[in-house]
Parts: sequence; C-alpha cells; structure tokens
Amino acid sequence: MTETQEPRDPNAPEAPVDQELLRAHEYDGIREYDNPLPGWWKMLFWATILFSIPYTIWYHVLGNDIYAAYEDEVAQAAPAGPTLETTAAGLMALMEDPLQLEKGRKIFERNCAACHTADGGGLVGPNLTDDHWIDVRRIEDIPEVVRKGVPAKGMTPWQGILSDDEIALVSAYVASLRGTTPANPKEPQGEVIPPWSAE
Amino acid sequence: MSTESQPRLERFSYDDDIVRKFVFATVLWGAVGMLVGVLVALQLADPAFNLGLKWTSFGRLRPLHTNAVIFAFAGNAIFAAVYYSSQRLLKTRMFSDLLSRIHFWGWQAIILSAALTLPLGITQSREYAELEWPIDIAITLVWVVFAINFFGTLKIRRERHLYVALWFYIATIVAIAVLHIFNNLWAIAGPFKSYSIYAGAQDAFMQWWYGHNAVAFFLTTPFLGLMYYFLPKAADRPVFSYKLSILHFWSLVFIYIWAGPHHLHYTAIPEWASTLGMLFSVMLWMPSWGGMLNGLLTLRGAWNKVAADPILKFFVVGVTFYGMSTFEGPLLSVRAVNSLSHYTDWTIAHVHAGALGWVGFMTFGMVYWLLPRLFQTGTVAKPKWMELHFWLGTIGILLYIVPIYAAGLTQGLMWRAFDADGYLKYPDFMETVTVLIPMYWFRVAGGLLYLIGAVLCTSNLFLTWKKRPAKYEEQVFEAPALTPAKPAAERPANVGLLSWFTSMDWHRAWEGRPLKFSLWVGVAVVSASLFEIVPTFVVESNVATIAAVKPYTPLEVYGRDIYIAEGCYNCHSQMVRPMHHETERWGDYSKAGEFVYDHPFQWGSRRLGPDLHRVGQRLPSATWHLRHMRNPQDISENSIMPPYPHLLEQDLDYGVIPRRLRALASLGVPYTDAEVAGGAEAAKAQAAEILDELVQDDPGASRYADKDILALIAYLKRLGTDITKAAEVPQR
Repeated sequence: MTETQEPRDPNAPEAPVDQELLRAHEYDGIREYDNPLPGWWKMLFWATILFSIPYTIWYHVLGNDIYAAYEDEVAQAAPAGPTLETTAAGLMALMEDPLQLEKGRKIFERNCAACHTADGGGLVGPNLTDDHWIDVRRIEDIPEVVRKGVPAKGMTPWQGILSDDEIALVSAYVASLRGTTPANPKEPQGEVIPPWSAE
Repeated sequence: MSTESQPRLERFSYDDDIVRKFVFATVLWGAVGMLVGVLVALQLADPAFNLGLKWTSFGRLRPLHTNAVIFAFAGNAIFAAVYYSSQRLLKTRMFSDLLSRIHFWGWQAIILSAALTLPLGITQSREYAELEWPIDIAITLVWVVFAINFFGTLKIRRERHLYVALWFYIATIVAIAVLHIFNNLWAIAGPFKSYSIYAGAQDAFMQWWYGHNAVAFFLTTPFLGLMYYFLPKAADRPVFSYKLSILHFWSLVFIYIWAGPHHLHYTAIPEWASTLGMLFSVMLWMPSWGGMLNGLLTLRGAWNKVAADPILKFFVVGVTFYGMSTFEGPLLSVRAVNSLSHYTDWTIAHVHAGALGWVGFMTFGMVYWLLPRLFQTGTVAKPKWMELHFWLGTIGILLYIVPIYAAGLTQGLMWRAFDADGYLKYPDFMETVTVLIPMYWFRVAGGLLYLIGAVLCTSNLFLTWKKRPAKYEEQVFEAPALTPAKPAAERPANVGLLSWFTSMDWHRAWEGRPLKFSLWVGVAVVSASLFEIVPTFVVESNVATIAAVKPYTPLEVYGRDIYIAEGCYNCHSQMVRPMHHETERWGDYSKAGEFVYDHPFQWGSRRLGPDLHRVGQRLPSATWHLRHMRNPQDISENSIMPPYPHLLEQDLDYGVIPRRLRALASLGVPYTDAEVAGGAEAAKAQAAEILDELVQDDPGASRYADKDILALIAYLKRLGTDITKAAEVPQR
C-alpha cells in the first residue's frame, strides 16, 4: 500500500487533503472522505461469508463432527482387546520386562501418584515399597485392589477408568516398587507378607 | 432578493468538569487495576504472593483485576470519551448536569463495592459478571441514568446528522443493557447470594453470549467510537472512508452477537451452536478490519506527524493491536485451532494483546490529548514522559504476550502429547505447570513495565492539573437550532436498487433520525441473540437428560458455594472434552445431562490446575482433600495452588442451607418441601459421615467437626460420579 512508502521524516511536508473526495458534512472539524471500499476487503468479506456453506455441509451433513473424530481417535489407539494376564505368573513376567514396566510407570504417575507419591513412598495412601501390605497377600491381589479399590479408605476403584491391560501393567509396576527406597517413606501399615512368587 | 432572516443563533457551553472527573477516575482506577494484575501475575509465578490471606488468594483477586481494568479503567475511559465528544459532535451541553453527576458517582460507588465484595468471596462466579445481585441492580440503574442522559442529549442536539462515533456509542448503550439484564437473572438466596436461573449447558451458553459481547460492546464498539473522534482530531486529517464506516458498523453490530459459543467449542453445548459461533466469528474478521483500516488509512499522507507525536503513536499501535487481535479472534474460533488453544494461556495472551494494546493505548492516547484541553494548560506538564510511557508500554506488552503465547502453545502441546506406546507423554499434570514458571516471570516483568507507564500517566495528570488556571475559562459557542429533518431520500427512478444501496445515500437519512437508528441497532442485537438463545432453550434434545443424575445434597450445595466463593473456576475447569488425550487424562468426557442442576455452571475457561469434573471418581479420599486444601504443596511439591487453611477453621453455617435450597427449588431443582425444611439436619448428618472417614485415617481430625472443609470435600467427592450409576448414557 502506498502510505507505507511515504516519507516518515517529521520535516517532510504533509500530503494535502484531497478536496474532491471529501463528503460535504463536517463534525466538530472532522471531515470524511468518500473513498470506495478496498476491493480485497470486499472479496475477503464475501469469502468468509461463503465459507459457511461448505463448512456446514462438511461438518453437519458429511458427519465430520467432533464426536466422530473422537471415536476414530480412540478406535485407532485401542488395542484389539485385553492381551495381558493378571495371574501371578503373568505379573511376574511383566516385572521382568523393562518396556512394560515403563508403561506401568506412566500409568502410575498419572493415576496413583496423587495418593502414593511418584516413588511409591506413600502419602494419603500406604507406602508401596516396604514389606507391609494391608489388603494384599500375594502378587495377584494387587490387580484386584486396583480394580475394586478400597472405597471405605478412600482408594479409587479403577475398573472402568483403566483398561484391563493398564491394570495389569500398573499392578506389575506397583509390585516392582517393593524394596526400592523412596525419598519420604510413610510408616509401615498392615502385615509383613512373603516375597512375590509366581505360584 | 430574499428578505428571510438567518436562523437565530443559540449560545451554549460544554460541561468539561464531568469529563475531567471521568479522566481522573480512568487513570487512577487503571493504575489500581494494573497493580492487582501484577500481583496476580506474581501469584502464578510464586504462590507465596497469595500472601497467606483468604482475601488475597488468586481465585478472589483475579476477578478483581478483570473487573477493575474492564469496568473501572476502560469503563471510565468510555464515559470520558462519550461525554467529551458527544457534546461537541452534537453542538450541545449534555442533557442534564445532574444525571451526569449521578452517573459518575454511581459508577464509582459500584467500583468500590466490587473492590470490597470480590475479595470477600461474594461472587456469582460468572466471568466478567461476578458481582452479586444488589450491585447488578445498581449497575442497571446507573446505566439507565447514562442512557437517559445520552439519548436526552441526542434529543436537544443542534447537529442534524449523527457522526459515526455516535453510532458506536448508541450500539454500546443498547447492547450492554440487553446483555447485562439477561445474563444477570437470578433467584435470591441471601443478602449477597443468588443462583443463576439457568443451569449447566444453558447457563454456559448465556454466560458466554454475555462474556463475548462484553468484549464486543464494552471493549470494542465504544473504543471504535473513541477512535473515530480522537484519531482524526489528533491527526487533523479526514477519515478514510464514510462508506467503510457504515458497512463495518452494521456488520459488526449484527455479526458480533452470534459469535459467543466459540468460547464453548468441544464442550457439552449443542454442536449447531458451536458451528454458528465459529462461522460468525470468521465473518467478523473483515468488519473488524474495517475499523482498523479507517483508523490507519486516516493517517495516509500524515505519517510524518506520527513520528513526531506520541499521542498518534499510541493510536497507531493501539489500532494495530486491534487489527492483530481481531485476526487472531476468528483464528482461535476455528474448531481445530481452538482444540489446541482452549483452556491454555494462549487465550490470556490474546486478550492482553487486545486489552493492553488496543483498549489501553487508545485510552492513554485520548487522555494525553485531553489533558491540556481539559485543564487549559496549553500542553501536558511533562511532554517527554508521554514518549517514555509509549515505549515502556510497547515493550511491556511484547514482554508480556510473547512468553505467554509460548506458554499457551507449550501447555496445549504437552497436554495432547502421546508417546510411541500410546500413553500420555506427560502423565503428571504438574510437569505441564512447572515448565511455564519462567515464562510467568517474564509476564511479571512485562506487566510491571506497563504499570510503570500507567503511573507516569497518573503523575502527568496530577502535574498538569496543578498547572490549571485559578478559574477555568468557560467557552461559549454559537450554533443555529436544529432544523427539521428532511424527508428520507428517495431512490431516483433511474438508479437501480443495488447501486442505490451501495451509494449509501439512504443511510444519510437514518443518521438524521437517532431514534430510528437506535431502534435498528436494537433489532440487530436482539434478533441475532434470539436466533441462538431460543433454540438453546426450547429444543429438548440439546440437553439429553440422564436419569442417574440427581440434585446435590444440602451439604454439597453448601460446599459448591464455597467452591464458587473461593473462585476455584478461575484455575480449574469442570469439562472433559471429547478428545482422546482428555479422556485418557481426566476420564469419560462430560455430557450436557450431567449439569442440569448446576446453577450456575462451573465449566471454567482455563486450566492452571487440573480439570475437576471427574475428581469425585478419581480422588474419593476425604483425607487427601483435607491435606491438599490445608496445604497443596504437602501433596504436590511444585503446586502453585494457594493454601486454604481457613476452610479448616471456619464453622459451617447450617442455618443458611434451607434458604439456599428453597431458592434452587424455585428454579426447578426437585427438592421437596420436606427436604428444604430438613436441609440443615441432612447436611449435619452428611458432615458427620465425612468426619468419620477423616477420623478413621487420623483420630486428630475430630477437631474439624462442623467446619467448612467438610462441605467442600462432600462436593468434590460427588463431582462427576452420578454418571457411573447410569444404566445408559446418551453419547452426545
């Protein structure tokens, strides 16, 4: 546009007011030009108005709505079905697999750390690193507690929120925390139980 | 030769005293509002700045900041502009000096009452409409006084036609009246307590119809009016295009109203409403830029003046930020962009580009232009400070918005990131907060620079005022009385309908008839509103009911009121969007039917903290909530949430519960008379249950018997849980 190329030198003369283009009226000394609407302005205004038609058809008629997109996204992400076993042997096997444990850690951090802290040392929930357990006697009890929670003591039932595979992974991860050294361990609660075993 | 005498000249003077008053109020409240802004910015960078007092926590001060800068700073600036320019554009004194003063003092009293009630936790929790019902009534009355005074002035004018600035003032007065009244309908539940008559999705819809149009008709149209008067005056150049004024005025007034639902994309409002919100927002782009073009192109041929005049610099940067914000607005309202930007700091950066750049700079430009004229000093006391203020402000804005844009993008991208295994890459929400803290410190620095600039303006105002003459000279003007309106221009027979329309000559006649003009503005605003509001309320399928969703218990209602009073919605949303990363992180996405008893809705508009809609499912432990509310850092080391120890000490006021239940029942929440009457006892019993739960974990917790915290815990444990009991859930 031409105005940007004009001199900015404060001493440069100001462009004269174009008397031809002025409208007749004047308000408190303010005059108005009768300049036409800029062509690109009109075109873009029409374009934004007309855009409504194809968009509405695309979204509402052709079914590209946010819920359809959500269902696609979830369907793509979901595995074929539960593949992991929550038996003692299954969990012991998961504990041996660092890749699976890493997945378990992420699930734990997102869902469990609020009460058990990220390193499992316990806070509102019990310490998961020592040999004292409240509702768990054998390794396969862990996924049961995760699934059903302990509502009386404030532990969330995770069934329905976490998938079966996620419950298996996070249970294996919880089992793997036993014997680690957290920063601020909570005092032991419950009874001492024997080491995890696959039998 | 004609012997007809010239029309008799009438003598009149302008009321500049009222303008001086509004200018003082603008600048003083501006500094206060921005100071609170810097304080809340500090609170996000370091929660210690919540000062350990319940009255100064972020949740209570953030609304104080927004209300102060919108209604006190921008509000008084609007009134200063209207009172100064309307008198001159209409060649008359204001209709009534008394009404002018009632308007001024009434408005300041409203601001003071806001400054007192918001820190006390007296709030409706509706963004930018937080003030409780008695203050709402006062606002209505003062606005009516303003309207009578303004339209009375139109009536006694000596200028037949209305200049474009006045069109924008008319739109402001008409639209704000409609918005304020219909967004503030409540059932009264106490001297400073009310519940919105709307619930859930419908309440959200009304609130953002209001919220968006408060931006349109309080922060845009009046400032365009201000621009149309003060910019050509300061530049002494004709306005670029009269036709553009007409077209962008009417398109703004009509289209703006529709755009509100873009604040609610991906939430549980009907999709058609969301689509309308998006499409009309996209259409707003050019009408908004019409204003920018008319501002910037008015300076065509006079850019040399801009280099020399700090006032024009304020205007040029102000209008440029207007152009930037009104491009960004349509962009953010596109669903795909919004899915990334919503709930993040991106929105905060966007509004501050508009608020600091457009509203702030237009106001400061106007104030500096007015000072020597109002105080009759020939020049401002410290001309060089204007230039300094301009640069401090400009650098301040950039230092604020650039890091906050970065923060918004960072948040949005981290929330949605999945790793190769298909798990959330940042499962701990805290990670997405701590990474932002350095950027929050930049914001503090930018805000501080902007505040220093505002303080320079305040000082300049006082120094100029001190130089005023012992007695202001009252200039007397002369003008002939108003001549009768000419009959409306007819379309000449040889001119086609289309070219007649595009010639805009018909509009000239409208400009001579303010009542008709205002009526059409009203029609544009109201009809556009009704097109969206009526279907939202009458089409039942918009809010599919879920049988398992039951009203809150009396204790939960009381706990919800605490949630509202503490302003939790300022940081926490209650709306899980239908997106894979959201449902992974927060749980099942939120359905409209879950909110049918939410008077008012608490969906929130940003996530400085986690979403809370499903918190009852995910964190059912009473002890967790107790410890977290006592000191969030005990639970989560890097949390920026302020502590709420006072909730553990304040006694639960069971006595107010029946009245609140009765108010809710009057809005259709199905409480029986017996439930209302027995509300206090039921609440006591539930509080005892929560206490039992706490005592099980820690016998010392018995000291929290009958304390406020029990009610808040009851509410949080309930949130988002009803749906788990539903046999069948409508999917959208």
